[in-house]
Order: sequence, then structure tokens, then C-alpha cells
Amino acid sequence: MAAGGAAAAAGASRTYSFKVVLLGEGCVGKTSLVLRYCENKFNDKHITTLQASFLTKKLNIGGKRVNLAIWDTAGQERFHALGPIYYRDSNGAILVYDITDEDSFQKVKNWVKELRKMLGNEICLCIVGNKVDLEKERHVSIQEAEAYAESVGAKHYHTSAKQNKGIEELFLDLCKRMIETAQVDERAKGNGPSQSGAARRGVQIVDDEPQAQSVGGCCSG
Amino acid sequence: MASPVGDGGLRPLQKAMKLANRAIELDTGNQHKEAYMEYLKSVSYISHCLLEEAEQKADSELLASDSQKLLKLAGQCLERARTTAEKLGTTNLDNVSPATHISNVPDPPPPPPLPPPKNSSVDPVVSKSSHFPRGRSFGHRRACSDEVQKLGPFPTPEIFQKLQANEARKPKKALTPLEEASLQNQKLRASYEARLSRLNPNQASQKTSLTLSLQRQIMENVVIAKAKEAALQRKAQERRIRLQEESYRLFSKSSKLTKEEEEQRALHSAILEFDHDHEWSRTCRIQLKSNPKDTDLFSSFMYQILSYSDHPITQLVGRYQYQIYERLYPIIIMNEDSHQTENFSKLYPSSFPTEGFHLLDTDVPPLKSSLSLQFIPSSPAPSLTHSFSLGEKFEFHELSVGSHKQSEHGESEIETSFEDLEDFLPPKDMLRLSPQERLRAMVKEICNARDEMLSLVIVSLDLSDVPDIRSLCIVCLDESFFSLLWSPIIALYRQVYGHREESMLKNMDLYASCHPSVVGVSTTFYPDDIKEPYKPVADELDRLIDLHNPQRKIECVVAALRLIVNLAEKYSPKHSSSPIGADDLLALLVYILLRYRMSHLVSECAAIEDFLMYILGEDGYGLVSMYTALSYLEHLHIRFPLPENE
Repeated sequence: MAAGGAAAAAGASRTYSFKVVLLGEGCVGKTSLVLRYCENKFNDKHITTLQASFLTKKLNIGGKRVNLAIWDTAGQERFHALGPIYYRDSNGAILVYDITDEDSFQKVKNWVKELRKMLGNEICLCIVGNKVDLEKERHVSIQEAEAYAESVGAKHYHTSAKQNKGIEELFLDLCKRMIETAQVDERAKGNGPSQSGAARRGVQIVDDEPQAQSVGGCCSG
Repeated sequence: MASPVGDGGLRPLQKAMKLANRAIELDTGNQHKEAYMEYLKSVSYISHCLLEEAEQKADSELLASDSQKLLKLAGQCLERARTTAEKLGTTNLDNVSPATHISNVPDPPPPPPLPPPKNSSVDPVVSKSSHFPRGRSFGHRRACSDEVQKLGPFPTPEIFQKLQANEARKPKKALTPLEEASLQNQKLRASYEARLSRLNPNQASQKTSLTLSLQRQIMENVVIAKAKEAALQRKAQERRIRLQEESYRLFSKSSKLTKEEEEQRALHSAILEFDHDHEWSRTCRIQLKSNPKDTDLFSSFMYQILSYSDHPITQLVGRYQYQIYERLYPIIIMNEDSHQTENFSKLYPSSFPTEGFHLLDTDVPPLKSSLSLQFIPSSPAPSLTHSFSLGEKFEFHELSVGSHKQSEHGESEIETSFEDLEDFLPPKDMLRLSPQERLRAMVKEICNARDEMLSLVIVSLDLSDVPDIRSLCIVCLDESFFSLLWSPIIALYRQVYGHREESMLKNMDLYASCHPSVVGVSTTFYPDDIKEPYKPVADELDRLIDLHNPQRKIECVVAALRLIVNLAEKYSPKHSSSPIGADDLLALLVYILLRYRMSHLVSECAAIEDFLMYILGEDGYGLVSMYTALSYLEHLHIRFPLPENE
């Protein structure tokens, strides 16, 4: 992996490394969702042993290589104030609520505010209504959720971790948006992406980032 | 008056003499083992008697003439026991060179970090100052008292250099002719002493001839060795010149070189010279040339290099290590005092951290100027001590002056002058800074040194300069570079983070007996029927302190987190039904840190973050989890006040 070095920077061989944070209350099924995403195509041996807390996935989207690192965050109220340290340098955020639980949707709104405040518009937001298999017990209206998402510049998705619905689309879409944002960003910065301070943390775009660290996760062709 | 103690009518002295006599009889009868045991018995008898006496009597009565004699006899017995043991060929006494009589001093120094120095001429400084960098700044004494022991006291830079040499000597290499000769001479001398001890006092002429022949043999050995050494050196010198020319050609066509280029060239030619003597190094380099991205090959090559103390790269790392220690030492010594602003935390209650890693940026007040002024060297060294505030630092400086004077009289090997004292003082540029700023400045220096070292190594080993190799190379170099430095570096961090660790420890005491559910651990992951179900995680995290490489440390953190997940999975009754996410992981981590009082990880984690080259993926997640758990614990009393009745 990661062949080629500085010389390849101007060429096509570039790997995008994205950090995505996963937010949502404890009971909304965010861990099942992300676990489902990584388990789905590949067997569970590919999952790092940190289980659902930290997951990586390698993708190839339209010839662009993407390394996705998904960071689960603690939804418990007690850890709430400590969240910002997790969001740092995130390229994307997936905010999950339970469609049967109005409260969990309110929580999502709080997180959106916090993320926007901390990371500005750089971060791609996805608001996800999970548990659509329980449509009958829905307590959050589709219209309201979608309107809210639009108003804050986020995209809205419906998923069911149980039935494995909508998850693949959600991540694929998010990756595409993150690539776009990164490209815009790159152009604005005058093609010197790895010089930015954030590159040290391994987010943003890294020209064939070092692979010395053990990055588990799945491999996608 | 020494009154008879034994009821057999014999005074202890008489009985001891009898025992010793028997031993001598056996000795002259060539019954070495029996003699050896008898000598020891008499020593044991004597110490028993003296101890008994000491317990019964007042100070003034002690050491009556009999007791003095007894002590002397014990000394003689011990001495004879030693020579007898040598005849036996017992190896456990081999370490003791015939000239020293301190067979009861454990010789091999304890493993790093920073074992007590062996050199007796400089010893006083350290051993007496051992009571001064005590607890305060290391806060969490009870939590990891063993670590504190390892941390202090810090040796002076000179002793540090000796420690480095000690470290380096570990892998046994071929001896030089002179070393070999000196070894042989030691043996000669030992056998000479053994023979001498067997001689009767009236065989004086024999003694003289033995002595003369010993001297002759020793002299011969030395002369031969010197000649050999000179020949070797000549050859090496010729080769060196040839190799230097070779790297001149290789490195620069132009005659003008920058300082950096010169260093690179010197290092390169030294490496060539090393290659000349070591087949493996040559082979490895050829293999690497044809396969420059083979990371396994590369790291094994690097580790092999660093295991050779005479490899130019190893020596380079040692130089950088020393250079940093020289800078660190005055600061970590100085701040023992300035840390006396213990009311830091009272005056400036740390606000709850809300963003970023550098939670403490605003937390630490600048050092009060009046306090820092006291450290400014205002007059020549000897009177300096007066300008210090009272306290342990004061003691230290007096002591060091004293010891330097002492060693001037002795056959001291270190040139001493009062200028040395200046070295113990913090450099002026550091004085004006707050502890936080000092830490930042030092971190920057350390990082710069590592960068320099890395570039030098990459160029001089002719490595391909790609990120993979770079990051691997720095991990290998770090292993050596940080080996003796991590403890003093952590001491520096503790100057800034110590008060946080302390207050955290108080919190931990408060919540020590709480059920895990209090910190959010789900009962499904906490079996009541297993004793200390998460002890293995604590053991793993304990390992972290003994590692001296930021990369290895972070790997240790990640391993601990994985262990949490594995254990939680094992303990939870229904498998796979509830995946372990951040909520559970964090709660369990908090519980483990609390249960095993690991507040010292605050400084460790801060240092890990500063010195990691790349914080990617799981490593980053591990570090962030650790930060979060520690922050949570620090403010546990605010976030989650204990119920009144608990």
C-alpha cells in the first residue's frame, strides 16, 4: 500500500483520509449502524478490535482512494462536555436519532449547533433517522426533520440498522461530499494540502499518508 | 565494661576468636569450603553479639574495647572469607575487583531509567540531594510510588554521560588489546593474592619473589598490549583517511560546505568505516539499496545499528540525548522550588476544559516575577547560594559546591571549577518563562533535535526519503533517544500538569469505593462474581510507564482499550447483541483509571501527544479516549457530586 512518495503528489495517486464522527444518544442504534456498515460487505474479521468505537474502511470512489476512519463518541450526558476533543479535525459527522424518540432528535439539534460553532461549514453533516423499521411508532415527522436538515446545510437520511436499509447510500454520499469539500479546499489553499497544520493529525488530504500505523479495517476494491 | 554475655563462661570475644581460629586451621589445611563457612559463622556470631549488645545498652556505652575488637575481627574474617571464596572459584564474587573491599555493595546498577550513579567521587551530590526532588511535583506518589522512585533524583549531566556509557556497554563487544591485558592482569593479581594468603608470615622471601614476578608479568602484558593497540590504530587511521576521501567525493563537488553538510559527510565516512569492519552492515545496506521500501528490513537494520554502541549513528543519538539532558537538567532541578507555588490550584482553579488538547494553556499562571528573580545568577558562583530562597534547592547548591571542593582534593577525574556551578543554573532564557512556556520551549527543542537527527541519519545512510521510512526511522531512533530522557522529560511535564494529577488523585480517593455504575459502567459488563475483572487492563497500562518511546506508548494505550473491549465482550451475558461503543468503552476506561489510581497518565499522555510524529487512526482515538476519561475524572466531583449519605 501507499506506494509512491512526494513525486506522486501531482499525479492521480492520492489517498483521501477522512475522519467522521458519529453522534447520537445511547439508544438510537448508532453503533449498530456503523457496525452494520462495516460488517455488511465484509465479514467481521475486518473490524478492528475496538469494535464499534473506532472503525476504518477503505473505499475506492470513482478512482479516488478513500480511507475512512469512523469515530464513535459517547452519547451519555455525563461525557457531553468532553465531546469537542473528539470532533477536532473531523471532515464529516453523522448525527443519528431514533424516529420513535422525539428527545433524541432534539439532541441532534444541539450537536449540530455545537459542530457548526466549532468546525464551521467545513464539516459535512448527515442527519440520520434510524429505526425506520419501526415506522408505525414514528414520533419525529419526516417533513420536520428534512426541513431542519436543510436549514442547517445538512443532508437527511433514513436508515434501519436492523434491516440494513439506507446505510450504504448514507456513507457513499457522505464520502462524495467530503471529497468535493476537500477538492474545493485544496484549490483555495493553492494546491499545498499537506502543508496545512491539520495534516499532522492525518486528516484532510495526505499525499499517500504513512501506513506505518496499524490501520485495520476493511479493504475495498 | 563489657560484661560476659554468654553463659558458657566465655566472653563473646573469646568465643569469636575460637571460631576464627578454627577457620584459619581449616584454611591452612586447604579445606577451603569448610574454612569459608567457618569464617562466615564467626562473622555471623559477632554481628549477633554486637546487635544484642546494642539493643541493651545506651549509646555512650557502646563500642567498648571488646566490641571494637570484635568489629575488627569480623572485618578480618570477612576478608579471609573473601579470599577463601576466590580459591573456591566461586563466580558470584567475581565482580569484586581485588582492590575494592565493598563486596556488600550491589554492583550491577538497576536498569534504567537513571539508576543511582556508581562513581563515588561524584556521588555526594546525588545521594545527598536524593531527598530534595521529593514528592511534591510528582504528586501522585501513592498511585505510582515506584515510578516516583525511578524519577528522582536526577543525576547531573556528567553522571548522565556515564550512565549513557553504561547503557552502551551492555552488548558485549570484542575487547581492545589494552582491555584484554587489563583483564589478564586482574586475574594475575587475584591469583597472586590467593597465593600470598596461603603463605606463612615467616616466608617473607617467597612473598617478595611473588610480588616481583607479578609486577614483571603485569608490565609485560601492558607493553605488548600497547604495541598491539598502536598497530591497530595506525591501520584504522589509514583506512579512515581513505574513507573520508571517499565520502568527500560522494557528498559535494564544491569545496565550500555548510556546517550541516560537513556533519553529514563526517557521519557518512564514519558509517563507511563501520561498514568496513562489520559484514552485516554492508550486506544490509546493499539489500536496502535494491529494496528501499522494505520496511521490515529497514527497521531490523536500524535496531541492529542501535544495538552497537560504537556505531556512528548510535553515538550521534547519544550526543543529542546528552545535549537535551544538559538543557533539561537545570530546569527540572530549578522547578522543584518554583513548584512550591503549591497554591496554584487554589489561586487558579482550573476551568473546565472545553476544547482542544491543550486544555491547560490558560490554566497555568506565569511564574511570579519575584520568585523567578531569585534564580537569576547575579554574582560569582560561590555567593550564589545566598540569592536562593530557602528550601531544598538551597541545600542542593551548597552541597554541590561542597562536593566539588572535595573532589578537587581527591584524585578527581572531572575538571572542577566554579563555572560548573553555572551549569546547574537554569539558562537565562528559560528564567523569564512560565512553567508552561518553558515546557513548550523545551518540547520545541527536543522536536528540533529529533528532526535534525532524523535528517542526518536519512542522508548519511542514503535512505529514500519517503514518509514510510521517515516515520519508521524516527520510531527506531526514539527508542534509543528517549531511553534515558523520558523520565526527566516527564518531570518537566509534571511541573505543569502535576497539580492536575494531584487534584485528580484526591477525587479518586473520594470515589474509590464507588460501584462502577456510578461512573456509567453498564452492569452487563461488570460481573459481580469475578474479582477485579478489569485488572488486566490496569496491568497493561502499567506497562506504559516502562516504555520510553511515544509510539510504543500509544500502542500500549490502544492495546489497553482493545483489552477493555475484549473483556467486556467476554463478561457480557449475551454475546453480540449490544456492540461496545464509545459510551461503554469510555465508562469502563474511567472506572479502570479510577480504580487503579492512574492520575499520572495525565503527564504521560500530554508528552505522548507532543512527541508522536503522526497521530492517526486508532492511535488518535486511543489518545482522545484517554484524555476524555482523565478530564472526566478530574471534574468528577463537579459533574457528579457524591450523594450525602455515601
